[in-house]
Amino acid sequence: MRRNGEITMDTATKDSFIIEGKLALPYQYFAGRTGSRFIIALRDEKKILGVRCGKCSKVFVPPRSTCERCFSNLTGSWVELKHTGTVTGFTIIRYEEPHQPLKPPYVQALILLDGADTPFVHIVNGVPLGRMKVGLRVEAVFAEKATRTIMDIDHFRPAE
Amino acid sequence: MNLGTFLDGAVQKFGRQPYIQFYDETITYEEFGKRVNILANAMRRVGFRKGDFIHVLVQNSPNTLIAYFAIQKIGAVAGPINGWWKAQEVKYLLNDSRGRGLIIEDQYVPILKEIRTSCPDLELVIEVGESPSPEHISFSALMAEGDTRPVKNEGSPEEVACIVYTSGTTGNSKGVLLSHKNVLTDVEAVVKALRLEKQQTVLVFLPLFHVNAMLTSIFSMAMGYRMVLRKTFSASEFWQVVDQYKVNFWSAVPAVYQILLSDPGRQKYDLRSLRFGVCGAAPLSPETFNKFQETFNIPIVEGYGLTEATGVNAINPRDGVRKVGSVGLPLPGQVIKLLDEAGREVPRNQPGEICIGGDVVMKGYFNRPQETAEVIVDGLLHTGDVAVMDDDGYIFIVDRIKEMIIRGGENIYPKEIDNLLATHPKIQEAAAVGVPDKTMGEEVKVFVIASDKSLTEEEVIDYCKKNLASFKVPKYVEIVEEDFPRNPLGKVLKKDLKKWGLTPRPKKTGADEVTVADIFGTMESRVNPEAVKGVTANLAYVITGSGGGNWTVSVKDGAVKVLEGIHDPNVTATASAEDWIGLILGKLDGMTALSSGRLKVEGDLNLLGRSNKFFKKYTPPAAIGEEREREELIRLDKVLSIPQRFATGPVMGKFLNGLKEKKILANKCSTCGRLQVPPREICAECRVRVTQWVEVGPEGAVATPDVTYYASPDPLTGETRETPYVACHFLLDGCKGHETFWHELNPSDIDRAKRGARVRPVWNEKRVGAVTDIKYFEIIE
Repeated sequence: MRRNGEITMDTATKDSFIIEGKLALPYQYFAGRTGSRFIIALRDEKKILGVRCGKCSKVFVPPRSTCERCFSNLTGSWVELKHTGTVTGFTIIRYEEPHQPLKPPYVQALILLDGADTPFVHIVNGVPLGRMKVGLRVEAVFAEKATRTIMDIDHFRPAE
Repeated sequence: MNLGTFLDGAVQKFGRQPYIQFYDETITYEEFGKRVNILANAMRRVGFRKGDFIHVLVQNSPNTLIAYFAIQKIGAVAGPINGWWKAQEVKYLLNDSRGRGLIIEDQYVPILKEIRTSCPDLELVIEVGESPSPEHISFSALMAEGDTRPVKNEGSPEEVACIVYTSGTTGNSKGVLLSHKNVLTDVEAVVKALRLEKQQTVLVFLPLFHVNAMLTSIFSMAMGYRMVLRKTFSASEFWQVVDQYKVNFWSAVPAVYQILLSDPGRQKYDLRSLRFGVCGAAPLSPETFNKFQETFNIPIVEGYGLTEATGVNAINPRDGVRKVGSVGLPLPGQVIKLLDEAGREVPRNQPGEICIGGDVVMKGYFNRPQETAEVIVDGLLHTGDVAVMDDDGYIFIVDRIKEMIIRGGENIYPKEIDNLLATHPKIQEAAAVGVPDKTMGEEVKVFVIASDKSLTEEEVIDYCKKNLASFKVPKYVEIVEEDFPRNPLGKVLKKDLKKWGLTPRPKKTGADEVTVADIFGTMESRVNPEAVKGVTANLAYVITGSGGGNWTVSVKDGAVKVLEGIHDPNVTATASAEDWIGLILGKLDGMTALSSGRLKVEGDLNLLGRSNKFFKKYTPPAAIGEEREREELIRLDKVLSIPQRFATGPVMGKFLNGLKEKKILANKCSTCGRLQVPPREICAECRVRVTQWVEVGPEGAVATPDVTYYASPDPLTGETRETPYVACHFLLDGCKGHETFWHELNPSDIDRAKRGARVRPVWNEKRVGAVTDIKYFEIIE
């Protein structure tokens, strides 16, 4: 065997190669008590729940345990909302990256549910991109399979 | 002298006197010597040689001893195997000792069948029994050869005579190597210490695979005694045997004394021959010690010893002062020192570790130089037992440094139970400790943290029964809800766990039991206003038994007051506390209780019936806790997997490609001459581009070993690699100084991972151009 014998370096790129691998990113998400109730209602009863602040008479969706304006405790002051609402803003996502819920292009919109005072973000589907506009009436389509996330509403579609 | 010539001397001296009385069979010294020669000649003929490790797995019988001594005669090494061990334990032993031979009794052959193919070093098997398997050599056929020519062992007393395994644990069990000199020195010391007289009959029922019984059979031979040998201990025949053979003494473990004390069958027998009983292996309680002496009027002589020091190292004098709770004085010719942590001798009455010196200290643990070096320091064997020595030199054992459990004289290493249970799919972690027990000295209790709530205590026991010798199976199991006490590194604090003892841990939820006081105490808050509207009456309750008392529920036009004591009742209900709670919780039906007389009512029965509706349902405190627990909380556990690419570049690429061809390439700085392995583009010292390449290794030496005890699970696969494992900086041949290469060492070389140990790479069959093409480095013998 050659020992300590010198070998000249080959600077040609034939020595380079590429190793494909996977990086793992583990994470945990805790919905908390208020968030859990919201998701469980979506999953088990197909109900969209919000909370009402008695002092400000505002209805928040998704629900939270404290009023963002007067800091009242909102725990337990549940209200049920309709499945319909109005788009108050939107964006079209045109670039692709891993772990997106859909293949671009797709629409993410702020939707103010009927009876709510705060809009929340979700996907709007079934509208040609050119016809997407603020003020569009939409309704929730529930997912067939429970995901135990806000994606238990699969998307919103234009209301009849 | 060695054990072979020792036997020759005894045969010559005691000739026709009986040596072994095994049930109806009497074997004289002469006959015993003859049979040993026959077997020794036959074993040589079938191919056994001097120095061979030959294991013996035969229940107490003359053949066990004939086998031991025949092995001594041919200069081989006898390796007794514990007859209670299960297949996995025997397999571990056979592969650890790499013994060539095994003498096995037919009752144990099923164990061998199970593991035969995974014991590659075992070449020759001799079977004791009526119809041995065809693939085994027949013991009786060997004896039938009848070649009685004397076999003489010319070996030195320093040679190894036996290898005795310390306990049945995979990982912990070590082969103790004892020389002829070790054994003969200890035998001589026992004879002196016990001031043994001639012409005695000794009873041996402890298993011959332990040094204790082995030594008894050897010192009996030294004294020309008759040895009444039994297969095993049996309380039912014990006194009859003592009477029939006029037994003078025996050696036993504390459990035996405990059992004998509770057996009234002795009164029929003449026990006047008895002189004394020896007790060892575990501490005897003063209670048993005294009671036994009172009942039988013979002394118990308590002793102490360990396999690593040939078995007997301290003993109380037979007719001198015996101190209760003491293991006595060091044996004549043996050195016992009590040392503190710094290795200094402690003053009298101060605790220190028992350290034993002299000719009884083992040669070492087989194939374990590091462990041997840990216990034998400057010729002194460190026992791990803590003791104090009083002003008269008597030794009192205080504690064990190691966490070993001693149950009825058998050593149990809790770690073995812990490790086994950790493999149970429903168990997250288990920790066994010894708990005090009157009969056995200690019993095993295992605390278990379940990973699956459906785990039951029975499942834990069953799993242990399946995989462990029965003496190691825990008697107590407790599935706990809280974590074990731990040190900052997460290691379970067994000392603290031991303090938990047999008292069950308080339960976290549902711990509040329902009490009668709580039922009445919550009544006012449970009033149903509709139902008591317009009602005015006093209802009295006489609740008997523990937790009972007298209460009056006074209703005045809808206002309810609960008073203690009886106050002008309209109706009085009488029931036991237990039944009352049952009634309230709906577990006992009111009508059944009335008709069976468990509930007695005086006065307005109708009022009592209506009173059911006066109050809302009672909710026990435990149920409130459960309610809360049932609330579902959403938690998402996700592992995102992100694709990544690693481009080697030409330098790392060349190195990795070299591995495919089993070459380890380094690059060499042309300015400072430093080698880098794995190579880098730039010299880390001179910051100049490195262009020269050299091949290094592949052999080398360990520079710095690093043992890893904890490995976190792979988030993608959830698998955790086995720990501990060793990674090292290796200084490959051709490299110097800090030019080391970081890789793993063969995990089974962990004990030998030392700076300077020579290593070579173990290559994977399939090499892909990754650093893992080298599986690991292994130490070269």
